[in-house]
Amino acid sequence: MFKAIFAKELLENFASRRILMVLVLCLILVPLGVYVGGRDYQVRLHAYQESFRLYQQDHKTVEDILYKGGGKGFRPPSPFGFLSQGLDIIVPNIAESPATTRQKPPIDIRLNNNQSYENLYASFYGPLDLVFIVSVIMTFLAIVFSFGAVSGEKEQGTLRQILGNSVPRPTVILAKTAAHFSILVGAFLAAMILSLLVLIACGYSLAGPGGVLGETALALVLSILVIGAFLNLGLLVSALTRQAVSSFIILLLCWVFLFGVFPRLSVVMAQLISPVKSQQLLLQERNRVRLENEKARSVEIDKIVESGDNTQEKQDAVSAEFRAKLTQAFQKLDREQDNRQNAQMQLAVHISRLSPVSCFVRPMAEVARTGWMQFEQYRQDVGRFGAALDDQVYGQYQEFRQKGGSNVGFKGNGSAPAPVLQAGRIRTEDVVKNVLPDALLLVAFNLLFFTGAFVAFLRYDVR
Amino acid sequence: MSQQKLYLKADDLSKRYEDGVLALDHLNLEVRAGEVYCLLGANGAGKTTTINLFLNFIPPTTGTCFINGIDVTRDPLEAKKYVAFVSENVMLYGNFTARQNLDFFAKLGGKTGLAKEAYYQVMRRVSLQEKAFEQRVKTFSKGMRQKLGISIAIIKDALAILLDEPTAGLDPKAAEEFLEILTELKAEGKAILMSTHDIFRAKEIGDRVGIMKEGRLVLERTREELQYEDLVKIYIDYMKSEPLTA
Repeated sequence: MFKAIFAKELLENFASRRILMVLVLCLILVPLGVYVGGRDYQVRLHAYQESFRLYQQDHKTVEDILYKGGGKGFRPPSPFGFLSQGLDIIVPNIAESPATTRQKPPIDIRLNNNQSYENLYASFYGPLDLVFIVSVIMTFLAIVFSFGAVSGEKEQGTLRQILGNSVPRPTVILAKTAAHFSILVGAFLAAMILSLLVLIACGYSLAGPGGVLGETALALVLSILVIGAFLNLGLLVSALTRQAVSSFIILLLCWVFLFGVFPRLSVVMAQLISPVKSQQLLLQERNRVRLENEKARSVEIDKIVESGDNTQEKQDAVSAEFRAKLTQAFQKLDREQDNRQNAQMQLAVHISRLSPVSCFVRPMAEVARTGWMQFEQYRQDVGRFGAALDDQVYGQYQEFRQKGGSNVGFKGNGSAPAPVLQAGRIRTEDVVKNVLPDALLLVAFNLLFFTGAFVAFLRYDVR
Repeated sequence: MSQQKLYLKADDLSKRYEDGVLALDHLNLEVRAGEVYCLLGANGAGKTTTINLFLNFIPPTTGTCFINGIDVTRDPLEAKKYVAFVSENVMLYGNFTARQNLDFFAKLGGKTGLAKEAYYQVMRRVSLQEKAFEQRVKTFSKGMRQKLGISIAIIKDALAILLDEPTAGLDPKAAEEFLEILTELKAEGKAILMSTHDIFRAKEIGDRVGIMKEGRLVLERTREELQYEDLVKIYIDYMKSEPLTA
């Protein structure tokens, strides 16, 4: 019985040419998106390698960094960027410290974002990556496929004809779910296999170091889960309504809300629940701390003057102490701001998880190494690079100057090579650990929607 | 007739819907093998409710339906093995051909592995044009759909057939052809329960005719009894009469 209904569903979708529509969309869009992403990676990889090569040509030693334009660290592009562009557009790809021969070395690493696009018009709509294809097109197709699965048959009267036979209702809904799932996932799998061939043709390797198979498999699992969630949601709404058109309108509203509104709303909600100080307010606070510090330092200096034991050394010591205190206070303010920002972002992430789309989009960026983990990793890499510059270039230069060296005679520590930004690699295991809660939530969405559809169908009035 | 096996039985069957409407009020009826029972009545008289109860689409408030002696409420799947159903507007899959529709419903009726020719034979039997066998059903007229609907009932080879106003909307020729098929099925020993508004055809084909009003079976006549009575007059009189009191 299951087989007969399963085959009927497939045949019906074939006959209505819906399968053709899905196949064409999948087989064109997915490989095209992957191809565009793969080509973009190659262009950016080439740009990265060229920039790095040119920089290294001129910056072989620490001396070069000091006298030839400062230190630069380049961020390599992610080979998995075809899966999701994620935060790539806003994460800087060059960390730069300006050349200086001042006594005091700079402590800030200047971040530049010089990402280039061949066609800026694309920035209005975002990239055609796998995340877009799955979260927009595949979820929409899931709705198109499922909205009439129950209500459409009810409307046509065929459900009455089916259930007039000795057919258990669970078999009907299971066969329908399995058939629709097979069509959508089958088409998507075919498109992914074609995409892998495209990647191989673009010069990617599947397995081994730098291989894309593992990450693509992870992306595939997440994609199937989100497609399944929307398919089951479609079946649930279809089993709760009596007319296909009502079912479609409700699902369209759900889709717009879950895809377009809720993830954005979660950010607004997080901002309201856990506000973060604005940059202006933070600046005012820093000024207040600075003024208080200055006032306290003046009081201390006055005390020294009044004590009659006023020496320049003592005043310098007090000034140094207050400078250190000010630095600490600023660092504390920055830490607090960072913590608040992190808390707000985490809250937004948690709230947005009520939508299956959010459980898919952010984890996909992590899988593609274009997400928050990569951003944090890059900040750490830059921090290490900055510390290395401080330690091996500017610190030594300061020491050299203190020992009476001229501002142009610094040679560094013998022939020590210039520090290079080492881009840290995020392990696949860490990504899996990070995306696991979202994957489990997607499983839960699937179970919840399917159980709802199952129960609703068992109680469905077929009259 | 009473020696024939009892395939359909409604025993003190009542149905009150959630909104309080009493759609069926203590109905008792029996349909035996080789018998056609016609249920006449206005809209809302309880004819379709009776069929819905036999198909377990709705649970009875009181009473029991039996198909081939099996309690429909207790074991609906077993009971439905012995019954085929043809509705007023036989709704089929428009994008499927006639044969594909027949194949699907045959499989649901437990008939698997049938050859193409077996489907063609059944469709020939109901006088469906040969060229329509492999045509998509969405191009079919109502008469053609009804023929395909009865083909589904035939191919299932069930003991009992439930027909919900099957001749409604058919032209006289199509209705006549439909009744001829029913006569053949009756001759094969099927028990047929047919709800209809068509008094003339009910008189023509029915071995027994029951008139329903406000959920009650108010009158039952055999074919023999109707030879001496004017069914049209009886029916109209009942329809005009005062509403029944609960």
